[in-house]
Amino acid sequence: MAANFWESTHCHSWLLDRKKIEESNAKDKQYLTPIELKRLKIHFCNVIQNLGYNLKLRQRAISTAIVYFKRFYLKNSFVDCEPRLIAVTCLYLSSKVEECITQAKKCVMKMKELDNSFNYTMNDILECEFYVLEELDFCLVIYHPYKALSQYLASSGIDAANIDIVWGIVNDSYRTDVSLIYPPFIIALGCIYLSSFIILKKKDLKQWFSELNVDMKDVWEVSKELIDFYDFEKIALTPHEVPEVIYSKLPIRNKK
Amino acid sequence: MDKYSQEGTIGEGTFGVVSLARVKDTGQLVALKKIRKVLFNNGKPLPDDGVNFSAIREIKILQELKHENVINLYDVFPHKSHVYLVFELMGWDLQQVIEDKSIILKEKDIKSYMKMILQGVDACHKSWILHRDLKPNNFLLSSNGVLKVADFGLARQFGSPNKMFSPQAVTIWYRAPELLFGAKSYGPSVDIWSVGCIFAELMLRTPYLPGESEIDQLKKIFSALGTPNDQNWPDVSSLPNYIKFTEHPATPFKQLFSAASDDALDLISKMLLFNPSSRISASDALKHPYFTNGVKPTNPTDLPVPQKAKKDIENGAKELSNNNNTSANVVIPMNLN
Repeated sequence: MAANFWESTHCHSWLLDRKKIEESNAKDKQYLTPIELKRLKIHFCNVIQNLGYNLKLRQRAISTAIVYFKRFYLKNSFVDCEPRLIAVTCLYLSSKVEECITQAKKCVMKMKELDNSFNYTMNDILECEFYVLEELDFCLVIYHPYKALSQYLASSGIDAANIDIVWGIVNDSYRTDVSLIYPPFIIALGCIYLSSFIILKKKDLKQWFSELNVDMKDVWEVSKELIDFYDFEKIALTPHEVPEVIYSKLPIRNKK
Repeated sequence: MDKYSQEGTIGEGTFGVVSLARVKDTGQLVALKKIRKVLFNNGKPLPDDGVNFSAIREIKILQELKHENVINLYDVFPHKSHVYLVFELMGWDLQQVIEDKSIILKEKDIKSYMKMILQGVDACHKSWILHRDLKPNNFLLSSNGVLKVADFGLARQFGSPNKMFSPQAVTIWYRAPELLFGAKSYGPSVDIWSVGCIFAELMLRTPYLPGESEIDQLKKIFSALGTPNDQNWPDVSSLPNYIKFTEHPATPFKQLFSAASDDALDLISKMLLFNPSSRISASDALKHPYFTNGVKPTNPTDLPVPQKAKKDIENGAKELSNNNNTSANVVIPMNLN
C-alpha cells in the first residue's frame, strides 16, 4: 500500500492542516470547554476501540473506524449527530471496507452490553451508514502506519522486546489527531522516535534517523503530540470531569 | 441527483439498476448505477446488509484507482436512500467482440487488446488490488476503442496481514488451478491466469477452457496443458482440495494456435504456467518481445466495432436526438452479471 499512498484520496484530500481540525465540532464549543471537548473526543475513540475489541475485529478495522469518526466530525458536531451512533456506524462500515465484515445487529447488541443506555437499533445504524459515507465523500481507503512501521522496525534494529511498546504507541496515536495531519510513515517514525529517545532512553537511533532523509520537524511534531496526549491522560479526573458527565452536558438532537 | 437527467435504462445488475444519464451542465452521457440501500426479501429488509458489500468494494477501489485502462468512477452520491455510482459511458465489451463472427481479429488487433488488458491489470496490481473476476465481459470498450477493466465487486486488496481469501472468486472458465485446488492464499497471478485464458479466447474465438464444474474445469485445464507434477508445480499436492488426476500430456500451443507468432506462444505459455510464483507478472508481460516484435498493435480507434453495438449506437443516436426518450433502448454493457 505504501507504494501508492501518494496517489490516494488519503494523501490528496485528507491530510489537513491544524486550522481545519480546529474547526471541527463547531457547535459543541457552545456547551463544552476545549478541554472537555478534547476529553470527549478521546473517549469516543476508546468507545470504538472497546467495541471493536469486543466484536473481535482486526485492529486495522478499528483504526480505520476511528479515522472515519474523526473525519466525520470535521464538518459535524456531536449535538447534531449523536456520537455513540456515529461511532458504531463507523465501525460497522470499516468492518466491510477492511474485509472483516460484522453484522450491524451484532454491533448494536455488543454496544448495548458495553453501554446500557444505548438505545439505537440496527435500522438506525443502516440509515446512518449512508450519511457517514456521504460525509466521508466516499473516500474509504485509509493508509495506516502499520506497514511502514514493520519495515522501519526491521531496519532500525530495535530489539524485539521493545517492539510491542512501539506498536502500542502507534495504536495510541489514534487517540490524537495525527492521522488527520501526517502521512502514515511519518506517524510510524514519530512513534519510533518517541519510544527510542524518550521511553527507552536510547540514543543509538540518531544515526539511523539522520540517514532516513525525512523532514524531522514532522516526526518531532508527531512525538510531541503523543507526549501531550500521555500527559493529558495522566490527569486525575474529578467526578464532574468524567466523559459521561461531559457527554450529558450536550443537548443532543434526536437522542435515543 | 439534480446534476443528472436520466435518459433510459441500460440494464439491471445484481445490486441495482444501471441507467443512461446526461450531465445537465455539460451534456455528457454517463452510466448511472443505482445501489439499493438495503436488499429486500419479500418486502422485508434482509436482517443485515446495509450498503451492499460489493458496492463498498467497488467504491473504495475505484475512488483510489485512476488509470486510462480502468473504468472511471466520476462521482458517487446518495439520493433518496440510494447510492448512485456515476461511471463513464462505455460502448461495448470484449465478449461482444469475440462473439461477433463478422469481425475478423487480426494479430495486431489482438495485440492491441492484450496490451490494454495488461496495462489495466498492471494498474490494479500496482495498487495492490486483485480483480479476481477477469473475463471478457468485464473488459469494456469506450466508443473510441479504449479498453477498460470494470466490475470490481469481487476485487480486494492483497498484501494485507489477513491473507486468507475465499477460493470461490473468479468465474470458473478463467479460474486459476490453485483456486480450483482450494488455495486460500493467492496473489496477482490468479488474474494473470485469467488474462492468459482470454488471450487464448481472442485467438480461438471461443472459450479456451469451458469447464462445466470445478472438477471438469481441472480436467479441461490438464488435458490442454498436461497434468501438473512436483517439478512444474512444487507443493501442488499440499493444496487443500488437491486430487490426483490421471497423467495427461500437454497439447503443444503451436498445434492449437497455428496462426500465432512464436512470441505470442511464448507469452501465453508464461501466463498459463501451473506454478503461480513462476507465472509472468503483468508488468513483465508488457515488456515481453510480443509487444515490440512484429506487427504494431492496432490504434484503439481503429479496432473493430461489434455489429450489435453499431446498431445500438445508430438507434441510440436517433432516439436521443428525438429528445423525449424515456425508454431509449440503448444497450450499453455495464457489468451486469
